[in-house]
Amino acid sequence: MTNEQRSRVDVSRRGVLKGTATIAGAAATAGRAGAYRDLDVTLPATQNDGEGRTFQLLGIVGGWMGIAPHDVDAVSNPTLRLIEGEQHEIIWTNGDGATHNFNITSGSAVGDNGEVLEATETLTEQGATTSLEFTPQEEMEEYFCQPHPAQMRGPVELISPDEVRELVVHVEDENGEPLGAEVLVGDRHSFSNIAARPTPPEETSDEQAMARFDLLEDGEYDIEIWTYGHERITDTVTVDGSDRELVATLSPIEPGEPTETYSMRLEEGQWVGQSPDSIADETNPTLELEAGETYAVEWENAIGRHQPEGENRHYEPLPGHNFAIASNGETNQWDTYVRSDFTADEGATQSVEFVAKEEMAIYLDQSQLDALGEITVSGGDGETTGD
Amino acid sequence: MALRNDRAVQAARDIELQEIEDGYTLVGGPEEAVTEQHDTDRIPEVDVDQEMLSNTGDDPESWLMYGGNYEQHRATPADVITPENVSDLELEYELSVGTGSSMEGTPIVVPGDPPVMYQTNGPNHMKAIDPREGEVLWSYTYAPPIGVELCCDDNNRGAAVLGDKVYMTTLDSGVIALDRYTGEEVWHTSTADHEEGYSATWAPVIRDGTLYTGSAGGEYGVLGFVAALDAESGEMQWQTDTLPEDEWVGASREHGCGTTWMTPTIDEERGVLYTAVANPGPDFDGTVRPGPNFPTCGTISLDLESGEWEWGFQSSPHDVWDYDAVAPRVLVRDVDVEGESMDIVAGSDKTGWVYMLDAESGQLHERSEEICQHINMWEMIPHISEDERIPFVPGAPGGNDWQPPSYNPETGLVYVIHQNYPQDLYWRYEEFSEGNPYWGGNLDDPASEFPDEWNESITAFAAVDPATGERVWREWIESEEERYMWGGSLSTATGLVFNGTQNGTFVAYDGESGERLWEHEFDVPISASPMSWYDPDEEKQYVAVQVGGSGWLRQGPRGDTLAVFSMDA
Repeated sequence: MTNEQRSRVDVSRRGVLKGTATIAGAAATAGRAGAYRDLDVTLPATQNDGEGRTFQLLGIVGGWMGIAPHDVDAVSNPTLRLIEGEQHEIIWTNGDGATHNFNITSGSAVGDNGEVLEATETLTEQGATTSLEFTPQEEMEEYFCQPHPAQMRGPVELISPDEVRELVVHVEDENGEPLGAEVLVGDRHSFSNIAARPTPPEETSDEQAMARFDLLEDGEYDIEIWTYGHERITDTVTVDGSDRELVATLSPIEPGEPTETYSMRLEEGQWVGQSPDSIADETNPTLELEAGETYAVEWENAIGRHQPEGENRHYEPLPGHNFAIASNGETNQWDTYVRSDFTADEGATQSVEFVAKEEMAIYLDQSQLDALGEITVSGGDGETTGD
Repeated sequence: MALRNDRAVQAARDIELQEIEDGYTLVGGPEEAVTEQHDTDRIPEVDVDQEMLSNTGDDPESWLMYGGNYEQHRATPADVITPENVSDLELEYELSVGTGSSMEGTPIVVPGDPPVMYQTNGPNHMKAIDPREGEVLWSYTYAPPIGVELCCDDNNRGAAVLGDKVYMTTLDSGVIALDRYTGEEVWHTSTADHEEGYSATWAPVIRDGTLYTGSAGGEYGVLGFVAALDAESGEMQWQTDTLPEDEWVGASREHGCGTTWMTPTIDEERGVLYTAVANPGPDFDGTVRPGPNFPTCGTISLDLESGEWEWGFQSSPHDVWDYDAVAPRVLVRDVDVEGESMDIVAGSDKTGWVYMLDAESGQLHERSEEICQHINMWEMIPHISEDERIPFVPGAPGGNDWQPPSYNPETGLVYVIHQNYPQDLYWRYEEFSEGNPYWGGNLDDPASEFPDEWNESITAFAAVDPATGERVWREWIESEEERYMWGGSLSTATGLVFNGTQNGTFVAYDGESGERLWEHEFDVPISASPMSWYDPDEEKQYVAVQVGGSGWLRQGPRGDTLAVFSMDA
């Protein structure tokens, strides 16, 4: 692992956080994962400046969506925790092209006695960004958007933490392109959001993907980074006396020569094993895999665009059928490791190659209820190939 | 009319920033609901009974429910305005409602001397209006609590009426009943916890003393339902979840959504209601909810008395594109289908087609010819980390979003509004977190790349034959600012169809040919659905429409106008 502290103006792509051992447990199921938060406008890159906090928000009529730092990321109308006596900055972007502004008020934003203490200009264009610098006052209670006070409104809280640091994690792929990924620092969870510096530029070369964690005390933190189709990387990072930035490079998972090829047919409500013999003629056969090895699943769509039937229940045909692999747990927590495209033609075949991972627990056709089988993964001892 | 002295209007305005010596201050904004009475004595105390409700579709003097009648035809029997004379239609007045928030509502009109109009707009503001004079008789603003989660603007689309009361849904997933003569609150019932993400924006509908309402929050991982309340007391009579347990596996049903966020359609003959069922949750990550996710993105029929399930039809099984069914279902009776008579439930959906269902069984009789374009339909969407983005037409606003169609008894056609604009989508893993959005991905609006096949028109307005599914005519509508067309249409007994565009043009069409016969320009978009009534004392037919930008994307400038047009008989 190499990482190093960088100056704010020069985030090079030299440092590479190499993949190493996987920490047990799926990153994606720990912490509060994110939610819809933007309409994919490019956001400005932001960092804390001085002792105060820099917040990044997206304004849409559904509510203010938090982007960074981590404690507001993917939260709707997040609580803004402000450090007493320090200068703060709110950088917000118009996410939907409706008319928005940002105000901080004493009292309730919709109460009788409130007073607007800080306000930004009004933005009407999607993607436009503005900022507000201010030092918190005790009277500050809520923030809101004047044209949409009922839905775009959240609380302000004053805090007085001990000395704290900021850790910024940049995530990119092997070509140095920014990559949206999940980032965990200890039990804090965030996404690396695509951002551009200093403001959204025309040229995409200035784009980066960064996750910001602040209010960190000095110490050692476990860090874990993962996104679909890429290796999960884990390591330990030390925060000691100053803010830090590091760059993580995620390698795509590139299957090698398959150790084994499983052949199956997808029928109504079930997979039927074809070969090898260990799964032949079995319904929803269990696939026994070894961690780190490459496998292929070749399957034939025997039902085309299936149209379910039921008493007093009528359906248009399903969009198609696919092969997906997910983790264990309640359905709501299934993390998807493999998801193929839909195929809708009867007799069509699809070949899906993947590298087995410990977390893999089930495979399914996601558009049917019962076409679902188990995966057992042996070996690995917590090791996966890291690069 | 001194609306600036109207406390309810000021409350609804919520926040008016006023500059003072050392910065700004806020005025208005209610801690509690506010009623302001102006001239309540003018309201004739004639209670609205069931007979009036059942017959309102045949009574040119009334428009007593959101959809114009239980079948949701949005058709007036008033026949003063005709294709021949519509060019003489004139603006009678513009009433500033004074709040300037979401303007997606359709007013209702109770006949009398004078008639009384009940008009609503966001956020949860209602007025009683003398529609002859354009004067406000009382106004009311509900106080939505802090923390209401609304995906898509602070809409309120209209009122319902029975006896001496008038009703609207509240943004915090409730229903409020007001004394319609005084504007004072009678009861409020919460149908679900707004902190979990539930809300309510549509007009309820009332039959036989029971008020029917639905559920919203399909972007927050809620569980959709339809509810029936006693209109007198507000007491809950039944509440039926939309998602049958045997169609969902594991924990997926808990946050599977399937909300019902527009007004149900009532079939008095069969004793059932029909309602659209919206997207499954999370919107874009389908793995966590394997199966068809029945009956999301579809239509269901429930028994009016018991709430028991009759049938369901799904237009986008296992949806990952946010192709809700939303718009009110239109019940067309006695359609001649190959020599036999069939009652048809027409559902115009975000998928970009209109589905004609047999009202008896829910079986698909015919899917219409396409209304908007279909580009990359039913393709799997990529993960956020994948470069490959696919532009989809229709995008997440449809097709037909919530905009109510109308049925014109003169032409026998159904008129629908479909958006036609490329968006691209991606999925990613998201853990459910109560009260926070639960999309399982995201959308790009507009799409990163526009497909070559796209015709560059953002909206289609079309006439569909419910018997055959034939698209009889279609007008493509462009918008320089690329705004979506956000209101529904009105049909008249003389074969006219009125519709307001995102460009601020209020249009009267020849319903047969699609020819534009009359236009009136406003300076802001129209996002509401018009209505009409005849006043026998004035001997005039009126057409009313709310004017102002609204919606969840690129809504355009706000407005606060109730525009009323008229023609002498």
